[in-house]
Amino acid sequence: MTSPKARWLLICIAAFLLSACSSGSGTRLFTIGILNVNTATQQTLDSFKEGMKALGYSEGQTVRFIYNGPTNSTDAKIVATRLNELLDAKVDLIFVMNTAIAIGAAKLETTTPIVFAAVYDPVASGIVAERIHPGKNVTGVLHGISESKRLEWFTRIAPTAKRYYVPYNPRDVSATLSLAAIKDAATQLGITILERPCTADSAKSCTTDDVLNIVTNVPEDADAIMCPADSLIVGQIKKINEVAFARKLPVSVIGHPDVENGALFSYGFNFKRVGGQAARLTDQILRGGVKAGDLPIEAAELDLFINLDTAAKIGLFIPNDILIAASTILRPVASTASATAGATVSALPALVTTQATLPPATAATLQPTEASTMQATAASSAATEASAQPTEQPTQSATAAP
Amino acid sequence: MTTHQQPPSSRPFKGVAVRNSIRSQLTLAFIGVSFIPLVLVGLTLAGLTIIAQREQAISRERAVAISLAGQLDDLFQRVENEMAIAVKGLSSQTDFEDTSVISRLPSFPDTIQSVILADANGRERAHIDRLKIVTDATKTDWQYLKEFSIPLQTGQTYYSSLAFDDKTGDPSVYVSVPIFNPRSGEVHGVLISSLRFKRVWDLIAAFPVDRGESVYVLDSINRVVAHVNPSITLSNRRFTLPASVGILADTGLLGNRAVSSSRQVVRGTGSATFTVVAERDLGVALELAFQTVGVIIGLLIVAFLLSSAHGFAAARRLTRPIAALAEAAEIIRKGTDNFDPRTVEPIMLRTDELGQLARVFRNMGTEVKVREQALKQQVQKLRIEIDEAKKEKQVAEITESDMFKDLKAKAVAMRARSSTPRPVIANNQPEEERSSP
Repeated sequence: MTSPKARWLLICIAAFLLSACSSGSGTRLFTIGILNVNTATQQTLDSFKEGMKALGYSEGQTVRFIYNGPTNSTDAKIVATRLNELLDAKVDLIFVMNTAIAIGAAKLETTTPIVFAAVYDPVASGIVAERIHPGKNVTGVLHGISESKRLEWFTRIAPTAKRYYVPYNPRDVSATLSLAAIKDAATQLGITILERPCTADSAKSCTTDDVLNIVTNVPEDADAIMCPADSLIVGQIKKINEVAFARKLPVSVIGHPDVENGALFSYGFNFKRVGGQAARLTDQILRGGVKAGDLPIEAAELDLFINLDTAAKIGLFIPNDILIAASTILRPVASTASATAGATVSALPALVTTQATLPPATAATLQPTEASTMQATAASSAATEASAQPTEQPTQSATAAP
Repeated sequence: MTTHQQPPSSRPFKGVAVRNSIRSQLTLAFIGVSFIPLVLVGLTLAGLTIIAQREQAISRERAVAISLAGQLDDLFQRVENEMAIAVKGLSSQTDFEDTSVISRLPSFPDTIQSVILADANGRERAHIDRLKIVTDATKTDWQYLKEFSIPLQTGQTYYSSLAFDDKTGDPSVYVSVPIFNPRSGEVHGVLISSLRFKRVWDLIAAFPVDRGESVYVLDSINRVVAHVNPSITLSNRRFTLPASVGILADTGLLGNRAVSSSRQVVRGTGSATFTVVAERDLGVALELAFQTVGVIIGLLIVAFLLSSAHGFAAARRLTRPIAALAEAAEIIRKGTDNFDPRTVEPIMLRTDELGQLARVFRNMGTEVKVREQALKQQVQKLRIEIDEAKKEKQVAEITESDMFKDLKAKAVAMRARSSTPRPVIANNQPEEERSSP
């Protein structure tokens, strides 16, 4: 079988067998277009990428990210232009991290699935018709579910406060929806809301001065400051904290990064977790073959973040049963022997107890409030353990569930 | 030339028509001998491959179902354990302290939506919720609800049926743990947790599956309560698993042919039964087997072509000399003049029986040709002799006839008269008359 004909025949047979044996199941490279307004959502983006990685996507091999932001504007035309640029890039999915961009994305005439993260209320914002069957090839994660509960936490953390100041931007849909939820909750809880818009004319946009004006001129009768889901307001969190520290007012925010910036506590979505939720939805669409419109809008997981350093500065004692429910506690640096400055440490596992004594520095700053005095004795040892524990808790457990 | 009516399938040699040629028969025989065993072997291998692949697919789905069922069971067990620990810490405490204890549940608020501590009368002593504000107005009387009454009466952990939130679609199931009075041993309260079944959805969504594979959970009334596609769950779809495995596959959840396996998770002393199903589309599950069958079919086609070519060539090698000899015989039959012994000489070179036959045939043909030529010469010679004899006989017949004799006599008489002088005859008499006798 060495004649040319025979050789040619063998080659043909071998080629046939090789082609028949080849599996042909190549790994597909998905392209995800990403857009956000500003870098405030960077943690969400990071956690989204981490979530994709945890789900088995390898950047450059099975997934490619095209970041076309930040837009630095919520202008509909600019948003539409950026989104269309992503569509022109033939992305397989668009991931957005802002209500305004999600609204723009939902208006696109495209079959490309869209996943959003951390939109306050996609139904009220007109992004989708309903949560269970969003349709429009859009799905995502909302976070506007915790305002009433946040206010309830506020009443437990600062039980003497009866009048809550709420500055807000009336042109921000999220802010107005957030305010409405807060007011409803206030009615149930029997407390007073002191709301103040940054502009009296709802047709006029607020300037920075307008915002500064309402965040620095806190009403004299306000007992606490409740920041709504309003990016303009929380953008001035340092100014708010200056006023709050001066008047020893507790401040509540919706996002934990602002707690790290000095607010007393937050009960809401965790930037580091919401991206992971969006990643799972993305995986269900890309690899699971599920239509985005068939995936119910998910509610963001909720975490309670408490800044004990701020509590100490405003002379507020937070009872143990509250601390124990927190997912993350920022403790005063002076109270930890080996903790680094500004360190964020996780809350203790709920059922772990230690017999650590209260450090003098911390004890000096913790002033039990009237309502919490009765629990002070029982809580003091646990508060101490929370303060003394950082050196025992690894940093990587900072996002661990309570 | 002899003519025969040919059947359509027969192929005559040059000048020779045959029915059922040896060549066709030999070709078919060669193909049959070489190809049929291959077909049998190929079919056997293909069948075994499909069966083996199917068994492997079922084993994999069984492992997947067991793995997921284990995770699901662990999730329930973890919540029950936490509740049991919380229950131990509840004894002889105030409502406020009890609230503090139940708020320490590690699964709250990630896995547990709300926790209710009900006394022996079904009244809420403590209630925490991850979303809703709990006030006295929102408290519920649990006395007549199964979530309270069953664990109170049986002293066993109870799981309610799955419920979906109308607005969000979030699924939840109540897990109720009885609280015993350590002194009397009687149940004096129930700890009720609303378990976020969405954790199971998340578990399934993150569960690693292969292409064409899906996992889902059925409850005790065959509702699909967890699936990677929530729309299937939210559409309240029901699916009954087949009682036995089909010959090759079962009907899958989406109506497709699928290889599947299931595993039950029983909780709450039988109050809740979840069936974890892992299934894989038949086409994908047996893809490797089908590829192997494709290769086998390809090999069989190649083998068929090769054996056909080989059979055809072998038959041709055998029948071509025969056809040549038959053609030479036909030529001889018509006459040896056109017979050329050199036409069979290539066959004579063969060392087999056909070569021997060709040599004999060549000799035979040559001898026949020589003899025929000799015979022809003899015939020619005889024919000449016969012709001459015939002529002599004919001459004799003529010369011995009465007429010839009469004419001969007349001729003699005329010759005799011509020797005597004749009178002059006028010239105007026609020539014919003059020459006539």
